[in-house]
Amino acid sequence: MAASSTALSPRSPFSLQRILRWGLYLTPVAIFLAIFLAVSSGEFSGLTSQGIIDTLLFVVPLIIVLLVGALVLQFLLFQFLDKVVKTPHAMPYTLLAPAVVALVLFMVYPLIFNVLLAFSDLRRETFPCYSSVLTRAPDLDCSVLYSPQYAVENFTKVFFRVRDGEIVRDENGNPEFGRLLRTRDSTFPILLARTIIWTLVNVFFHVTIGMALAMIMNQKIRFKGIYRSLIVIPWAIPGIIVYLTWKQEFHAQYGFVNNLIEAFGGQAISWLDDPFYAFVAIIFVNVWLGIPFYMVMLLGGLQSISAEYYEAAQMDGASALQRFRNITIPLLRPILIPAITLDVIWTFNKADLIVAMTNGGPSESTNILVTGLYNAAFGTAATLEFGFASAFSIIIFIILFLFAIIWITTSGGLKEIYDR
Amino acid sequence: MKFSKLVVLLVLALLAMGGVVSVMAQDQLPATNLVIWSQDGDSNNEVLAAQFQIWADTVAPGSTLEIVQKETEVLRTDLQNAGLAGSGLPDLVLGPNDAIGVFVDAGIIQPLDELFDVSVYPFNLGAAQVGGATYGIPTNAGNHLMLMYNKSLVEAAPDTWVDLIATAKAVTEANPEVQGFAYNLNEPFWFLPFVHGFGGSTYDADGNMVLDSQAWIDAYQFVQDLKFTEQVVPEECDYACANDLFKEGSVAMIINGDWAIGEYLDAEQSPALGPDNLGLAPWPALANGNRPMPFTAGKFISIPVTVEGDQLAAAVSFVTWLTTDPSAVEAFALGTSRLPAIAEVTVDAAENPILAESAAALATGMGMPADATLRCMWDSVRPQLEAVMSNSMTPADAAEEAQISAEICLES
Repeated sequence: MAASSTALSPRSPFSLQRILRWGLYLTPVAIFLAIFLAVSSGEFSGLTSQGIIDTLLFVVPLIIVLLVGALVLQFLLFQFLDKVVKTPHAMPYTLLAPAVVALVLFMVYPLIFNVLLAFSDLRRETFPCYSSVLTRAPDLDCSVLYSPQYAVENFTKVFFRVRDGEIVRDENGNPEFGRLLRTRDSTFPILLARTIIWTLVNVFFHVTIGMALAMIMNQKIRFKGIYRSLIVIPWAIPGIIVYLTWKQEFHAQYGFVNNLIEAFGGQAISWLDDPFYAFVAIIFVNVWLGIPFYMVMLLGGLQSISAEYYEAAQMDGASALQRFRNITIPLLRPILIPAITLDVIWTFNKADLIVAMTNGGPSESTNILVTGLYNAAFGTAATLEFGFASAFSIIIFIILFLFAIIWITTSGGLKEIYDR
Repeated sequence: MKFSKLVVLLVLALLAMGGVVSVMAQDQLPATNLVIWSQDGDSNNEVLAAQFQIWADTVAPGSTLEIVQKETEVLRTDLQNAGLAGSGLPDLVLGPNDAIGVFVDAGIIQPLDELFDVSVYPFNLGAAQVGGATYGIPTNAGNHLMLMYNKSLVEAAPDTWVDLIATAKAVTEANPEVQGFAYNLNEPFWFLPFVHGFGGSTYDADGNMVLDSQAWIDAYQFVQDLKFTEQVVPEECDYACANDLFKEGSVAMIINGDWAIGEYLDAEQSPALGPDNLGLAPWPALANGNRPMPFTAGKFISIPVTVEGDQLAAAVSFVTWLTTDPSAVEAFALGTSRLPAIAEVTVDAAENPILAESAAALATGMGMPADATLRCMWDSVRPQLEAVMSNSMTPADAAEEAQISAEICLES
């Protein structure tokens, strides 16, 4: 008995902790060795060994200089706050400074720059006006780079068709909606409607299936750990691999999905060639991807609910549905509301999956607002109208911002945090 | 080693030696490090690197060429973004001509008429000319789509589409695991030759974009019938699908471009093909007797506006040698399995039957303009073609929609 407990203890040379720890130590060594061998063999994924060495010789000193520079700056900042400003919070301010600088550089500055771009006429033909190196055509007017007039035109073009600075009207005098891409279904209202359907359907299935699985996992069942691991697998695989794998599996002729359908006597479906089924396919993959998030979050929430509530309700004769509605849901609310908020924002902005699986096709029918924006700005049909694209992105930002405010204030999901 | 391989190696060695002798005649230049963004594949880039080394060893010892491979659309976007940022532009850009108009619009590449003697490129220089100025030097002629077939599955190339359909069905009947015919179904570049074959074009005589003529409708109808009536193509197939299936012997015939020939001749990359099994032919004739006409152009090297001084001198010297010296041109053409762009170098059908077949297919094509407005055609046709190929739109509606879409595109 004693020997067995020794073998299982964390100090045992074969304990799980030790194996994991050694694994952690050895992984970077293995990576280093692999890179070393690849470099010494002369080739590494198409890069030359000299290229890798040159890059490392540039990157490593740069990181060292940045780290040392940051430390020196922090020291100077602390001295300044402590000795000159004489604030009692010199240390917390100093420690927060790097995060503030990073936020300003990587969040605030891009946001401001994006707004500035919306006030520009930046498109492919005017690139030379905004670049110091490109050749300007003799007839290119670069006198005004940013103006409210450009902003008005950029924002108008998100909604309406504009020709020579004027909104185009139909025979009844109504303004024509502008095509953000090439088909008549690529107008803002249609893309917005499709985005809302995409978001609602995804979030609905995420919540319901995630909740169901969390409740099953909260029961006393055998092999629970194995089930839990299987369910979180979608999380463990890099997104792009998931998308491309599913794209192959939805292939009409060679994909697993149709093979399965045919094995059960069904008829093969042109998943990615048919507008409706392509939309179904991307929703399926996103639902599959999103379930683990809810299951893990809600399982944590369910486990924190005391069993006494259920016992008391049961003694009072409450049915399972009543217990779910009156105990589980209210007590999960602090977890559920932020999770739904995040999920709505993530799903609304889920461009990578759609770009990788369908690129918005066929016939631009699976585009949502963000993929429409991506394809309009950078896709194969892009005209690189960055001013227009910035205005478009600001509209999307405003929609999500308004949703978040309304949803959070009306649902009371953050009430507990505010009340503290 | 086979005798034929020895002969090819010997020829390449002799050509390389010829190249060395000819570059020795050039003036010496200081050592320069050039960067080229190439849309070409890895094996062709290796040939380019080898050619550069020959040039550098003699003309500019110590010079290096960094080849950065970029896919077509990535190259187009990255070059424009680098130009806008004002830094990071390469010294040379190697790619097809269809983005040249876009680069000229954005002021990214420089005119080359005063840097090169452009009169030595008689075949396809027009594909790189915008507003009368030349913005690209051809490294080869071609970039054309043609019929490619696996000789172990198809004895002879079908001469008409009726023959092709019958052959494709016969192949699948004999080998249920093999698809008779496949191509990049939803890509307009593969669709446009049909339009040309039915007598249509992108621009009318006055230069207006016309995408809704009867020829366009007929072409949409034809490709839709290939899929839904004749059922000789896979239900879904993009470039990778057709390319991979052909290489592994799961498709008997495909439509693809000359850029893939090198890959198909390599038995390691294409186990079902290789020199013995690969056959090339012009597009089969339509019922009206015309052959679909693919756009032809080639690969071109352009020079960004930021390149100057020693960099420019080295770039011009290298490109001039690569594209005009007969030995260098022949070595590059043989190495990349492409057709030369100068009249001094011709393809010997006996020595290079594959290149001769490619040349025969090229002769059935039509020159591709470098006009930036051509993008409005590609972008407007693509979604309509997808709709036709999913049977969710009629050919007539697709043509009408493409025309409206192109007109809106041209407004901007």
